[in-house]
Amino acid sequence: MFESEPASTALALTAAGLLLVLSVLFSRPSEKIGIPVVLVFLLIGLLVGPHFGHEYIDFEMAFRIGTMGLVLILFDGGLNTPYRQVREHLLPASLLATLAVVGTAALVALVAWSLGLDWMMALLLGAIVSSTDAAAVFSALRGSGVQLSRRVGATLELESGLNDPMAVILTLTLTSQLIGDTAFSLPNFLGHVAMQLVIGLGAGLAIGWLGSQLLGRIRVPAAGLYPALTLAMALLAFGVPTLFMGSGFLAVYVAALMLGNQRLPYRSGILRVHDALAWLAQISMFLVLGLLAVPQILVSFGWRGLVVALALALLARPVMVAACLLPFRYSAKETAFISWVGLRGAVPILLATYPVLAGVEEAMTLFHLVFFVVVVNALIPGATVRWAVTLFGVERGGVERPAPVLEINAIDSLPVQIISFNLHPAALVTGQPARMLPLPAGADILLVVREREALPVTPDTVLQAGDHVHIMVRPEDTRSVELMFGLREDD
Amino acid sequence: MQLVDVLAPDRIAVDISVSSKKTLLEKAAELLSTAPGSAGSRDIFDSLCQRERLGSTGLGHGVAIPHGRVDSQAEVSGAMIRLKRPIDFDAPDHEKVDLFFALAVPGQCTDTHLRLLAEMAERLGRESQRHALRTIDDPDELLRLLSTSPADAQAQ
Repeated sequence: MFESEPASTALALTAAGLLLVLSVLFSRPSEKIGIPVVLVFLLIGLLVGPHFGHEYIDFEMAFRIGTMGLVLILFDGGLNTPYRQVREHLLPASLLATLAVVGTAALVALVAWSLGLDWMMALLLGAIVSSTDAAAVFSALRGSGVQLSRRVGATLELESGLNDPMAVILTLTLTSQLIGDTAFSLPNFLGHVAMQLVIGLGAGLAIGWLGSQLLGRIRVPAAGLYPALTLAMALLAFGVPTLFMGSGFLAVYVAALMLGNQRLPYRSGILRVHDALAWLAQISMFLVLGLLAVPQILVSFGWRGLVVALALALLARPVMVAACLLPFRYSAKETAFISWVGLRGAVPILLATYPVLAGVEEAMTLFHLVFFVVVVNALIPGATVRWAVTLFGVERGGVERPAPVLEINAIDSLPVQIISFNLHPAALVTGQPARMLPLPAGADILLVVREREALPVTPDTVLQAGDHVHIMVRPEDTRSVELMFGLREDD
Repeated sequence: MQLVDVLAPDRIAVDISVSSKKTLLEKAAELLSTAPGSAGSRDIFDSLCQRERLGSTGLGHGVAIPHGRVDSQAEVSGAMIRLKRPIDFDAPDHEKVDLFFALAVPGQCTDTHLRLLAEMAERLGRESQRHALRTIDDPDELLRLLSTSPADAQAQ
């Protein structure tokens, strides 16, 4: 009875709706126990899959959903990364995203090969599981009240934005070598990787620049059309370079970085839409990938999967992270923490569909092995990340739960910005009457949030430790305001 | 209150060498603790570190204003340090820092102290001032420079 339209579409949408509701509802309990919420989505998919998922989802569809999802996630990540963070952590993060990805892949391959996997397949496995997911780290930390030190958090975040393209390139290149007639050759391989990176970077810069110009100049009648335009840019940034042998994922991230650091019209609206799209993408990717897996095959891997997974977490990642961070001033504890929380996300499972689609022999085995590795490498670090923050002393001090952020929500951008501080006893303004502060010309306190109350700022409002203070300031004067107020809570 | 009012020639250290942010703050705390009415250098050092943890006090262009609130500090005191070789101070522009003006502020800090901080930031934002502060070696000469208004110095 559900064979004909519109009933079959309606059924599919009903199922998708129910799965989404379930996933969103389960995010809260998973946050409490510290499991990355995405694993819950995966689990739901896995449980539902054998019953009706396999009829609707095949690898091709999963590949499309996964690619689209990763584009949305990377675009959102790029939009929310300030240049300051890029400048400060670009070198260590790019080493982690390139050298560590290749090295991790190689070490994992070595272990897999010693377990009896063919060496090309072992390399492919290594490449597939080589990229990390910072969103999973932050989602596991959220709700615990613990904040990661800015430097460690920023390094992890930037690394994970940059290493996905690298893992994709490695996997694609190895897959094409596996099914191609030509034998594997290192110069060929390196040339291919370099070309992907260069074209991807170039296309990302070009589309980011064009997009900024376009968004800065045009005026469209409805605010809702701006996010439509930025979404279009995300799609173009992936599609165009991919058609020309470039890394579309790198281009998406770079273009989003440029756009996000631009003065955008209707900025908060755009960011919120992309945030929602990224969540939807996370849920869909994990659900779909869960739907694809066959629990029985997963179980059959048992110890082999576990060995590869542990080798990744305890050997490959720590060795490569330590080697790559050596030239920079990271303390031993910071390095240890960064190695420990190399959480794997949806990207490896998406990448594992490439060889299946390309018709690589034994690709289904690989898919399930990857699945296993990802689950272990999300579960163990995910469940222990709060404990690791304290153990390795990478907590950020003095930060309370963030207050609601004030934003300027105007289609025409104004020459001021709103910055927010969470007052610490060590900041010079703490304990001072608000109206006595020597703020730069044109700057003023807009709002003070104390506990859960918003206070109007009167001549005798005295700033207290713990207050969230929102200040309007010209961009060029932010530094002198930061000097007095201390810790920014909005970047 | 002006910068020159809280400084003294014996709290100006020119062309010294330190190896890290930590040793710089130790040196600053040591200088600050010699001022009359000052807390011990340990307390001052702790307060400077606490403030740096909120975010670097580097201003950019190789200048920083490390400061801290010290409960046992009776009066505000200042110190100036100029390094032979600039050190990494997590400044916003990522440049290394060689010019430091350190402040130990009483726990009961007032708007006078904030104005002092704002004035210092203002002054050090000027290229001509930074250049002069980097080229003059004599502490008394430096104090004289700091007692003129930055706008006058610009005109010279």
